[in-house]
Amino acid sequence: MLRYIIRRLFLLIPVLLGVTFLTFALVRLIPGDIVTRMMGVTDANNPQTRALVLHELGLDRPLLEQYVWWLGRLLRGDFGYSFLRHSSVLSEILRRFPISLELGAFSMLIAMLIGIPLGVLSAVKRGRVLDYAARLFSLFGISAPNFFVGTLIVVFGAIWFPGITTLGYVPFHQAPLQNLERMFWPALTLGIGIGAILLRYTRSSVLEVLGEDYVRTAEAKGLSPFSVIFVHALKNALIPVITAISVWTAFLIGGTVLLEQVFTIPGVGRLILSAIQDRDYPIIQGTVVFLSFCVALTMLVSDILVALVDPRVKFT
Amino acid sequence: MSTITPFPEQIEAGPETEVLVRAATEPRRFLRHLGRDPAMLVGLVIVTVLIVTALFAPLIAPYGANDNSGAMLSPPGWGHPFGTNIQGRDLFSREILGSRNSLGVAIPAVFIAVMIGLPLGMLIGFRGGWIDSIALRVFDILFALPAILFAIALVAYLGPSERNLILTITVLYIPRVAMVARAPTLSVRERQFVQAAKMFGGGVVWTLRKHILPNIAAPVLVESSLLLSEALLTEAALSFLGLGIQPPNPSWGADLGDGRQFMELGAFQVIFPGLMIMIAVMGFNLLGDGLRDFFDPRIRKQA
Repeated sequence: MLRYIIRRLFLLIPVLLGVTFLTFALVRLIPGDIVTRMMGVTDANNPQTRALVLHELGLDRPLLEQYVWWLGRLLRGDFGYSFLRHSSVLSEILRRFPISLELGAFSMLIAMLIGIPLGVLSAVKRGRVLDYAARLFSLFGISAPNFFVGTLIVVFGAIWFPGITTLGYVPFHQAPLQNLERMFWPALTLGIGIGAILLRYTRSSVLEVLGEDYVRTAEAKGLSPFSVIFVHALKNALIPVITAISVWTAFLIGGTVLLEQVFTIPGVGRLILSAIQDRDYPIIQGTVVFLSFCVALTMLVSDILVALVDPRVKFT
Repeated sequence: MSTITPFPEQIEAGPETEVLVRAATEPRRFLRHLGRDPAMLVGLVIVTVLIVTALFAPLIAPYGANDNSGAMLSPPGWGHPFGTNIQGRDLFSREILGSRNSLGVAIPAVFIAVMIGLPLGMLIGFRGGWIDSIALRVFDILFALPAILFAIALVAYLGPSERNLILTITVLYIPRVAMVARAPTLSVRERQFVQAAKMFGGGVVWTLRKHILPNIAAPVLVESSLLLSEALLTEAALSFLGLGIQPPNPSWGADLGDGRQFMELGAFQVIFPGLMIMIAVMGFNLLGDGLRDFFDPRIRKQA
């Protein structure tokens, strides 16, 4: 097991190198003169500003050296400096990342609370009204774009329930209840979409397990349906669901961007959107790298979790 | 060369071989399946209507996308089924014409991704060894990118335009198509008829096209339909953020985003563009699910 984890950690290195290289290459895709795009014509014509910006972006060196230099800085935790915000890129990210993280975690919690119980019920009551209702819900949940559902909540929330505030953000340490109240709506929106997907996985996985011999044996022994499903079937049925959960957790890293925009939540998503508007390239570059690291780590942790839960996984 | 098939495929006519060929030669089975699967029928109808709408959009739309109809923010009614926006533009016409832009991004993006990803996936699966390992590592890198944010950043770097939207979505989907094509190739290449083709000295391209492709086409077709629904969503999301189709060109996502500004003056401005996205996404989803059931009887039993 330990060897498996160490091996996976080593495999992380090429992924991180690749991600950094891609992000590094992105800046070079910008058509035209980057200094003019960032600073405007007047500042770009000032040789001092020009030199400073080129140096900060590492564009004043040969290409390969630039990459190694930039990578070295990243390894030391130096994600660059934002001229527009007059602060380090990392501090800007770290200020907003916990907000997106809270939204993501809250969404996943709601998704699991919706998706797993409904999926089990839908499988057990297969072909009944409840099954059709759950599947219809899942179809709409998967098809409705989250930014559309979010917009509807904002519009009709304001019309029908003027007392409820759906927009904005309050830090948790200032007013925990208000924070949760406002985070609830975007989290519910994301939770419905991902819950609909988890419902599908749970349903088909439970259906598959219910057809297996050991479940039939448990039934034949005269165990109650409750214990057959919850003690015997669910243990195996949930393994693919755990994989699905981890994939969608990785999606939520950065995937909250649209709802941050709809509900005006100051997370990393909005940071990158405003950085795009300001052409604040160090911020864009740094955020993509930071979040890619988080995605790669999430995948690693989930693979290890699945290996721990499922004894059939070989540690290769 | 291609007309001569030295080894009859019947050697191993297992239930899952030659699915695409069977689908083509079995239109009756397909129709029967369609009759038993109302969800897929709905999906097929939605997709067909959508494509016909996009093709004949200018003939269907009563107004041009940017014509001022003379009525600002008029609610839905006989003259304007979806109402009008703040500039007095007829939203029904805009959503009809917008279907061109949405499908015009999603279809080429997925098509190019399949054209590159499918041969790539077959090749790495067929060859195996170090080519396969390297390709998998490269895909790992692309999978580690937070997809939406990466698309946002890429479009922001390249500049928002229809061409760059297509390019961005294509880059994100190539590894996914390749992975879907690779997995069945790994098992098909061990089959007798492929081994025989190798033994007879069949070239790689010939073997892939003649023996591997017909056997892996089904999952790729299913994935394409599901990717189309995702591509529509991605285009709508980017346009919603103002990074996709640029105003005043009609786009469902951009109209939804614009409608938000004056939504207190009429929710219809956001409802209709949103519904268009939702219905289109649902159509491709239902079609993809139905195709999967059609090709894979095992899943069908459970459904």
